[in-house]
Amino acid sequence: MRSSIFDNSKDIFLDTVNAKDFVQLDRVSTIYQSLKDSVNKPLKMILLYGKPGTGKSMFLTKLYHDLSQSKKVYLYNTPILDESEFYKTLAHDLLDVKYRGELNYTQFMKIINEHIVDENPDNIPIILLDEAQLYSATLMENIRLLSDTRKVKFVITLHKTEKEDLIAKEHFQTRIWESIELENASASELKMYIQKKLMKANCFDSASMFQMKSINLIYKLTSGNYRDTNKLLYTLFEIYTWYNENNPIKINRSNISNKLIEMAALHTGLIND
Amino acid sequence: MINVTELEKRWIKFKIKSYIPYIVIIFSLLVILILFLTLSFKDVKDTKIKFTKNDIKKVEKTEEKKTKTKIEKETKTKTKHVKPPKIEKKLVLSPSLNFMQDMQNNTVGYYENKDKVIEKKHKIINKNNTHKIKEKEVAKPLPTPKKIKNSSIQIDISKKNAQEDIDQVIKRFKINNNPALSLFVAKKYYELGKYNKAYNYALITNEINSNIEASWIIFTKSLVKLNEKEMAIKTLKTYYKHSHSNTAKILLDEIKTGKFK
Ligand SMILES: Nc1ncnc2c1ncn2[C@@H]1O[C@H](COP(=O)(O)OP(=O)(O)O)[C@@H](O)[C@H]1O
Ligand SMILES: [Mg+2]
Repeated sequence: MRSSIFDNSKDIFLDTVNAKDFVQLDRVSTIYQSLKDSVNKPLKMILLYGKPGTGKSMFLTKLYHDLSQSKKVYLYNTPILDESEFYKTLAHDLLDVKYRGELNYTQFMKIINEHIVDENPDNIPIILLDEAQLYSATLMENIRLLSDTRKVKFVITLHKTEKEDLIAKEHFQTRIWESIELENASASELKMYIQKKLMKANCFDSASMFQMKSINLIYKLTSGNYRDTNKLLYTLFEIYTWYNENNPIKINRSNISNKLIEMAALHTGLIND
Repeated sequence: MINVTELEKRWIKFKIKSYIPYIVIIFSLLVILILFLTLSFKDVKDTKIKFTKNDIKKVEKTEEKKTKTKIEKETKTKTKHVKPPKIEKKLVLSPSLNFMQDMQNNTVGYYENKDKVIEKKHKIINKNNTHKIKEKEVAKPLPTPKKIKNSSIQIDISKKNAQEDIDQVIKRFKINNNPALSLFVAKKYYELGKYNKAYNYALITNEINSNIEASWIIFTKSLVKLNEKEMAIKTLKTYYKHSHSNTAKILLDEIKTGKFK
């Protein structure tokens, strides 16, 4: 069975985070460049924050991918919530130290000081922590203290909610030297995002089906949130695939139908009936 | 796999729901439009009736004239018959012209039209008249008793006309809420001695724009006329404190001393 253009397009919008899928958008690229620059500056910590679905994990993954060629970088997508476990994992990954039993902050500090003697800032290990809002306040505080030693560098991401906003302000304000906010896409960025994503996967036909009229509706439904847009488009192409197989005369192949966008939005819960 | 058929049904439901507010808005606009149209249609009808009544009068008069010319063939009596209606027409017009001068704003358009219509008719009558007068020699001056009769008609008609014009302005005011119009109505009612109504319209004007001095003045004057001297003084004092208006001060003194009653 030959798979349709819609079926191929659908999978592009699976909610996955792969560095190779990173789409260069003007604003995104600028922010990404400044993030990369920050890593090379003698900063202690870098905070990446924004609402869910604004591409924080994507940024971190891309950064990991790009830096791993030249630096010692370690990416932790899912937080290690147990403090001892956290130190033990770092000791193992960074320094190849296997530790049995509990490892506390003081002990971990000792190991760090023993093993990392290189003062060249280019060789500092960079630890990327995603979803840092899940770490406990004490662990966060210790991460901060670790940064102060300038023996390791942290790049962390935070969901921006009001509560975390407060953390970002009080807890980190003076200690974090660089904080970068990620935002939802604008309507024109969303168009670029969708089309570039499709074209990257050689889905030129479906890319050209997205006119500004459909983009504006998608923008209205998702507010430019990348994750919501992915969900919506995945379902949209699923619906297109269905029509293509069951009722092909009902679909227009030159334009994305707003009706089908709305149907997808209903299915994904972006709108309610 | 998505159940697309089911989803399509949900979508139709959603679409209908999303149109409900628009339907409600359009429906209410339609109702407003119909109401507006029926109201304004009623107005047109009213004026039409007036005009036709006048026309009938005119026709009657000219016909009367004609028969008389045929039967009597006497110039002088006929011209007497023809002339009074001509004067009556002029009397009717004059108050309207006065109103025109009083009106400043967009109301002019309306009056222009009205006058034009009347003028036209007037011209036609004039033509007929002069024609006939020329044929049968010049008219005599009118006898005195008839003149007296005419002036009483004049007063009556001017009063009636003033009320008519006020009504027109009120209609216009209801449409655009222009405080200049309500102020005009207040003034006219005051002039006509309808102080209750003058008071009301001054109040309405003041509610729209409290900076119009004339609204304060008419308001307090009406209060005095309605035997509410205390309240008038109080109101005017408040206004004077706020505006330091000379006019207000003078009027205040006049009310206090009883010069203005
Ligand atoms: N610049 C980008 N290029 C390609 N895909 C992106 C980009 N930014 C976000 N996405 C996609 O949007 C979705 C949500 O992004 P993610 O990084 O998980 O958001 P967050 O971590 O802020 O909640 C992911 O599926 C990701 O693939
Ligand atoms: Mg994430």
